[in-house]
Amino acid sequence: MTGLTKKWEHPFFRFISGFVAMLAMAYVLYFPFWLTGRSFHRYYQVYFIAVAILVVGGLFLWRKQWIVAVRRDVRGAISYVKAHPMVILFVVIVGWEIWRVVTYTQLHYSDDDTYIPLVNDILTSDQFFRVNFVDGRMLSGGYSLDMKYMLAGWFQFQALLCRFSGLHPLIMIKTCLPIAVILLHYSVVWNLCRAFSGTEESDGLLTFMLVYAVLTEAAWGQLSTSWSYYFLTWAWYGKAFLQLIVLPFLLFVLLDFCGKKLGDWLLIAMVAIAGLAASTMGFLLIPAELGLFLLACLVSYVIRQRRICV
Amino acid sequence: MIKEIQLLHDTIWSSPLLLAMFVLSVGYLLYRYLHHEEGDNIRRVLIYVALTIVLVCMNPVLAYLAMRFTGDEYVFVRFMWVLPAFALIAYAAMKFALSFNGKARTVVIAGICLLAFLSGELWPDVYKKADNLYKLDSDMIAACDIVREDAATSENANVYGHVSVCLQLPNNNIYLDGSDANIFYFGVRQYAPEFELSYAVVNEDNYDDPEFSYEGYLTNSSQYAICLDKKALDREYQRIGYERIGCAGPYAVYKNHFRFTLFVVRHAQTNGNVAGRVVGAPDSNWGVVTEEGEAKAIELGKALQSANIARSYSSPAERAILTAELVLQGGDQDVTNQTNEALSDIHWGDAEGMNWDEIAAQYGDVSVQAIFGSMEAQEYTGPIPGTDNLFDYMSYITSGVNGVVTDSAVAGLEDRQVLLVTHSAFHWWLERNLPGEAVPPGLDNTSLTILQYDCGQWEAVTINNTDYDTIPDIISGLQ
Repeated sequence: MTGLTKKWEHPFFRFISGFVAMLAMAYVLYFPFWLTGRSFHRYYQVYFIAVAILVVGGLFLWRKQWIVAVRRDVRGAISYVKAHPMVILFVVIVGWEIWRVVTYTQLHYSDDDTYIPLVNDILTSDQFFRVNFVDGRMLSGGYSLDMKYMLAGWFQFQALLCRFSGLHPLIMIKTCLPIAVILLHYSVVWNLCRAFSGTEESDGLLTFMLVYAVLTEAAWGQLSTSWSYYFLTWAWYGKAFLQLIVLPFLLFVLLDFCGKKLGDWLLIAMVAIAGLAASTMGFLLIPAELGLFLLACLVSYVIRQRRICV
Repeated sequence: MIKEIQLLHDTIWSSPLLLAMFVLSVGYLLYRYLHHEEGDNIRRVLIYVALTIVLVCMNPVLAYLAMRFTGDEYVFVRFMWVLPAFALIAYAAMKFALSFNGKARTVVIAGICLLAFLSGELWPDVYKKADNLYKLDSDMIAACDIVREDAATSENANVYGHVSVCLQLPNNNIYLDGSDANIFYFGVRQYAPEFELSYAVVNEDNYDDPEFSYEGYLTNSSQYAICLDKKALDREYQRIGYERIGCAGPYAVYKNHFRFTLFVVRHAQTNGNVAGRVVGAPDSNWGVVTEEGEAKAIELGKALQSANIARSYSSPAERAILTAELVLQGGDQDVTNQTNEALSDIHWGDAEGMNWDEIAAQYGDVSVQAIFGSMEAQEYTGPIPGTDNLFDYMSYITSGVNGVVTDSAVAGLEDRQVLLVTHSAFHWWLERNLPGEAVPPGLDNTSLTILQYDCGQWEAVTINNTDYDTIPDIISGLQ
């Protein structure tokens, strides 16, 4: 594997990295606005100007590559479906999950009590975390919300999405975002499977995705820490984004890591920042995953007595 | 530490079958790697998995430390998320299936999918059909929309664009996931962020009780109220100054129509005030009103002569009672003062009667906020033993004022004036209920604050006014 250029060609990589980059960028921009007490609407303006510049600039600079890539993706998808008609089974399972997300809800709210009002209050107060999420009153001057809410970037990012789309936070967060999370999750594990095998061959990918989807759907742990729980119940949580997208995507990036290109380092930094943004659990899990992988590489190196870079 | 490992197993693996599939998958991939059928990435992944299990996920020392320092056992269990368990099982399954051809491969894939299927539940018992894309009760949304529409047309919002809404709940378990109170209270909170919420608890047994009375249950304290559409509640809400403006399914929506004027007076000057000593709820020699204080109270009463005071309330402190009586006497108001424990001053605990130098000498250079905390800090304990925290003070003073408003509404004092004699600490109540107003960090002795209660919303006419010459003009200008 040869780094970022090669990754760019992977199916869905551009979509995953684009979404993760949006979150990481929102997080980096958030801190100066929060610490200087600026309003949310100013943050929103600066964020979307930055995003627009990057998107328009990127499209302008790499327009030919984009067109080629999109054509190749569409053709590739069509030919893959023709060659593997059983992919319909996988699509049915994912469709089932999306249908459930849209038409069903959970029996009780759990942390929604806190998380949805936090997003709501950013939008309605135009300030970062100056409203008591329990009763909706403005907080008194000497009081701050728990630091863990302010350190995470997920609520601000959700508020940006709501403001941009014009949708009520409940619709954006409980219906639209879970659909995106489900699709992104399968895109990530699709790439992870390729990284495991270390080849570009697609033989067996469908089997992988089918078994994975059945496991996700059926191997349901009873408590909020199991692998399926957030996927099936609260896909809009920052923890879900961390667990379902950032952590496996980081593993994929690390497995393909070469270290010779600046882009690879930036990509790891971006994914790590997105992990911190998604949930304060990221402050524990991102360093843990990075440290464990580095250790694994060292052990692997000792075993094989050769360079880490493959 | 056995407990931590047990917890880890119970919470992560939905079944022993899933655990077995994972172990078999890792073993199968290891076998393939040792037989040179897998590449370097799988080698690194297998080492990563082994290290993750040994050093993190099944590390009793880390489990103990994480649980001890975070106080949340699930924080540690979430370390399991760095293990790509499903991906490894699916990858091993893929490789196993690929070692077969034709129909045999199909059968193997079906068998593995069946095993995965049997390792948990297909339809966890956590779902219910959603009424709408908001994922909330449609009737509750409709009730909120009635409030929204009315607030928009009558321009009732405060400076933050908020309106106050009181929800009637069957109990106060608003933090108990899945309880009726939780679903209703936080459902409204999620749907309508511009509502400043409070709640009233009325037990279900009272819904149709002809003897049910608002006292102890309902207060006139918000612009709107949403409650279950029940006869007893309807009667009592109307009794305390609300009118019904609509209903949605099982919910009825009420709007506050009660208006009156509240004259808030801080008690007259005391010995403690002269000596610069803090005096709180308990009566003491420092709380005795001075002659100058008495004169000022009578002077204020005269300034209020043109007012038509219908009732008078004060805290039970002697200085407040005396001040109320002198004000009423000075203004020739034929009203008897009533005391209410909930209108008491804040407690200064062991610092009662001390001056600030003595407080600093004994407890350090502490600010008022350090002593009492913030309005939202429910568990706050300050450095001085025996003090109230501000959260508790706000709870009882709010209940006291709500009682004054409700009593006035029930007594039919629409557009009348009520006297309330209280303490300097009342400035916190003013801060909270007059958003956008400049409230001083303490009220002056015998100062007058005139508040108009407009259908659930407080508006200040004058705050902490000690220029008594201006008061007659202000009163004549009251609506």
